[in-house]
Amino acid sequence: MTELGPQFPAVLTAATGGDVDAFARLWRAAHPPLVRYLRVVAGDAAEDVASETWLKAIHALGSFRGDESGFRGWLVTIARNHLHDLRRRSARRPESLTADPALGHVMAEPDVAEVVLERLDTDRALRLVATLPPAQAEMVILRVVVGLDVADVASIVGRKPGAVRVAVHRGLRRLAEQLGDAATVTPVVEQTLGRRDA
Amino acid sequence: MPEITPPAGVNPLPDEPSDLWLVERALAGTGAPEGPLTELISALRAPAQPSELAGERDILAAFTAAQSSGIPTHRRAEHRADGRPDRKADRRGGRQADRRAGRRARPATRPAGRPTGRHVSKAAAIAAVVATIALGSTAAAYTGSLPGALQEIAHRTIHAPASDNASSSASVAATTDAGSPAAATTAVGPDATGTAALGLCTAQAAGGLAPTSTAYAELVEAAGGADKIEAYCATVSTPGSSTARPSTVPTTVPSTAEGGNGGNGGKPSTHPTGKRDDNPSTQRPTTPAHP
Repeated sequence: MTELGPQFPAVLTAATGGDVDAFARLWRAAHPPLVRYLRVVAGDAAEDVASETWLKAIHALGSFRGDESGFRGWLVTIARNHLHDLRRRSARRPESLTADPALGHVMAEPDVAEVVLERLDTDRALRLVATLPPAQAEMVILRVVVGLDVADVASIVGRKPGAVRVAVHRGLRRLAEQLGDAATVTPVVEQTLGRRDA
Repeated sequence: MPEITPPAGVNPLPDEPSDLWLVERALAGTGAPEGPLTELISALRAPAQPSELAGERDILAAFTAAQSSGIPTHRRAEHRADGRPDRKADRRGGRQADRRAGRRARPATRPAGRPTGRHVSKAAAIAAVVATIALGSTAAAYTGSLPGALQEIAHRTIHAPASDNASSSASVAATTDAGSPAAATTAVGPDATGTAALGLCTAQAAGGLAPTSTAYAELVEAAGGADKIEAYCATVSTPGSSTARPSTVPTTVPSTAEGGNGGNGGKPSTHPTGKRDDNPSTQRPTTPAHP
């Protein structure tokens, strides 16, 4: 993931001043981690929520103060609030449960065995993370992909830093073990699948 | 994963997993051995794929529309910097009495054509952006060129399928007019002569209307010709510029994380925007600064 790094303050200032090129740089750097986060916590609604998050961010840009990781955390907070609203609204309107696309709460839990057979790219890695319990998956993504430190993750999800540290650790270990196991069992499974397909 | 021992001086706390340090190293990218863990982290952090940046044009159009519709995120920043939000209003003539009385000039007393109050201009710009997105979606849907995500936004923002002309038009009217039901029109398709005109004009100004779209055709018709669009749009008023509607102004403006919620401000009451005070997820990270 590409960071603006030392250029961030100047780019933010220019974007706040209305410079569309600067805003584009801000977006290109911060959108991918945001949308990856949302793919795990919001599933099919990820792109929608990301777009709405940016619309809100555009209007509140002048009030943001902080560094680059703080900016990503700020976006996540906007997205989280928006998701919270969507879910509460949908809870009030149970009749629309199946009709509202915003209701694809969490990525449909993929079959771990299926996912680990694929080449490990970003898509597959995100789907693997989504197999974790939702709260743990969120903390893993915030820490690993959004790149927030433990204290910021703790602040966003409302948990103690120690709890975040351990949850992230356990989640990553569990996924790494699944990947490790998959590496050894893959030939057997492929053989089985091949036979079934034949 | 090969067997490794923690570096000297690393003593995990009793309730922490013994190899916590290993994960921390992998996260920091410093000295963790190659294996499934580092592979996973690399994949999660891989550079952006083209599909993840596909929405750039749309969001830049929204950014441009927000700038041109008079919402100056930078102006707000200036106000904050000098701590004088109403500095410009104070400079205007006829404010002597207010100043002597120690009162701030009120937004409602400003010239109607140029809303400078933060709340008023904010509401107007949000309405314009929502209209831009919604109408851009409608127009693009007609030509079959709309990205799925934006289509969904349009769908949910105006609460109507883009293919449903009648309900779409009515909802857009309600949205752009910031909640004045009396102004809603019943025309089929985006009614460029009604309250949707602002959105069409905004979308057009932002380059969002395809020449082949129905929305563009509506605008041409309303203007009386393609060459008259500019003149026609100049006559279209901005919501909030004629009369401030305090009831539609987002009351959560100072809250940065929710600053844009006003985009929902014009929705019909059947789509409640939800109060913020019972929202437990308003905790924010400590790093970002807030007013």
